[in-house]
Amino acid sequence: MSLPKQSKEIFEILSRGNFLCENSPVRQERDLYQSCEREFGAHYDFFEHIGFYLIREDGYFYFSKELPQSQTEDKLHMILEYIDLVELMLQFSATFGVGFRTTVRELADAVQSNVVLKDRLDRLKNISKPQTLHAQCAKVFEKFKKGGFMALEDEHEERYIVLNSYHYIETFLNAIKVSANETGETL
Amino acid sequence: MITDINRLLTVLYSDRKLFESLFEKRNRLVSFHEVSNAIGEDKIEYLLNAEILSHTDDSVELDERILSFFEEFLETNEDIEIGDVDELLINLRYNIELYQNEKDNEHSRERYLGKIKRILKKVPNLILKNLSLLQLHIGLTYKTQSSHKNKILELQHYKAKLEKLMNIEVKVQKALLKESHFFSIVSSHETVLLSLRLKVRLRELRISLIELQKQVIEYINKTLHKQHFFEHIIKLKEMKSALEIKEKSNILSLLEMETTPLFMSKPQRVSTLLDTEEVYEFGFDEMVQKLQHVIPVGKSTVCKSEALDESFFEDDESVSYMIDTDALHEEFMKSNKDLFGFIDEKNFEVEQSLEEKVTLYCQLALMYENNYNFDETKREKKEQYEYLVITPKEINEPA
Repeated sequence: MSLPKQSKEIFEILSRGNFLCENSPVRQERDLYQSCEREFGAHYDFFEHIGFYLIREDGYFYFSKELPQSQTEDKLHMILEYIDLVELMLQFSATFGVGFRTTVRELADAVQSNVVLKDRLDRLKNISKPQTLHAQCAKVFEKFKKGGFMALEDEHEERYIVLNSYHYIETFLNAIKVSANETGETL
Repeated sequence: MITDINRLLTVLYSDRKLFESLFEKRNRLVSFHEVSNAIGEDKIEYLLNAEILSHTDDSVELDERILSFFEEFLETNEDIEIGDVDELLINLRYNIELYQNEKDNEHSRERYLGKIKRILKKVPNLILKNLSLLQLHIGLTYKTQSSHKNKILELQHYKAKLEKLMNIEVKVQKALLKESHFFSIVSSHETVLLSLRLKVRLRELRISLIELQKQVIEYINKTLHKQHFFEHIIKLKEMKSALEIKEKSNILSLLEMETTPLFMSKPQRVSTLLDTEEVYEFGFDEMVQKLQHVIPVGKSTVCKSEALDESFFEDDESVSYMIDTDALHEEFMKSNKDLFGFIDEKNFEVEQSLEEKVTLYCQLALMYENNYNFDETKREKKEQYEYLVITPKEINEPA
């Protein structure tokens, strides 16, 4: 079997739990995304041999793996944390979604003039520690960045872009169905 | 009321500063007081009578006709006025009919033809103006309106306007088709050319209109989707806060996946200060060489011990002969001999050399000094050594 080009680089990024997004500001990642796109079959077969499933979504790739079910609790914690983070960002801007761009300063300004946002920010776990508001807001972006859903586009301005991979979170959260009697109360 | 163009232009010119200011402030209320301060009450009264200004309650504004003229001419009107196009079509039909009915008077025919030409020029411009305004408003609303509900409301409003504009375009097409007879017999080459251009223009406009319609529908759908998503997230957050999400939703079954995306269970990685990637990326060698001068390196000096004797590594057991000095002392105390004579005559298990015997003599003399008598006057000789005669104290000591 001939080894698809750039397998090593792709593996290094995806095996750490990162994504390869079409709209990444990093040129190398965009190139690798294109490589996955072009030679999806070859890449898939290759990685499958070593136990990783290359998953192709609309505008992004990631690795999936068979893992023990005991990790469900960890996954739950992660998703619950994103519910808070996504809600905060949606309160900040209704247009928050894939391709959305904003700076730490803009979020900090919005929080300063909006008590609801301030309250949300203060309640976030591990976010309230930093002393300044700016540092708190920067931490929100770092969380998204660490998860692979945002990328720093301009270091000087501290401007971030929401990557295509955010679509995963959106889809997952949308798939959570509230049981019938619960929705009945809200309608 | 002014009915003379010359008079109108003079009035507009003499108070042009006021009209300019009122035009700029057309979207807010300007108080009567504010205007009277600028030009005086008499002048206001005159302009109101001349119907150049109008006033409601306490505010003054430009007369609607003047305002529309300014806006239309300067293309600053941001409202979409689709009714105008409809009106033009009625006028087109009317003037064509007038033209066709007037068979004798060439002068009147020219007049009607002139009006027809103006309408033919105006129609595509009006559609284009409305189209570009709609495009602008739709884009702006989608990007800047922060409230989902208003965004959907506004987008739907523009969508309705757009559909009306598309309807107008169809009507114009039909009207042109209907009047094709007129255009085929009309003598004016210019009019025919205009009608042909209008047809081409309309085709272009239709393509843009359809594109814009697609876009606005997409925007509405996206906004609706986002609004639903936002409401959904708020619901999830409420359930999370009430610690009910596990029981009242299917989240746990969703998490039971056959394969888990790696980002959901990021492997625990050992973090070190030395990132191997950085080592390769940023020229590790240079960094080390720079830091070598900055960071003092404490040299640790290691003392080397002497080389071990080879016999140390021999496996054979070695037995060394040790003399029990205590036992020897006891024995000496019971003998009636001098110390050296005693050691010299003693039969040791291992033969002792004279030097060893001298050492033993010295050892015992030092160790049991208090039990011995040292006679300074008596010295004996043994080979090259001269020694002091040492005898035991106590009972054996001569009185």
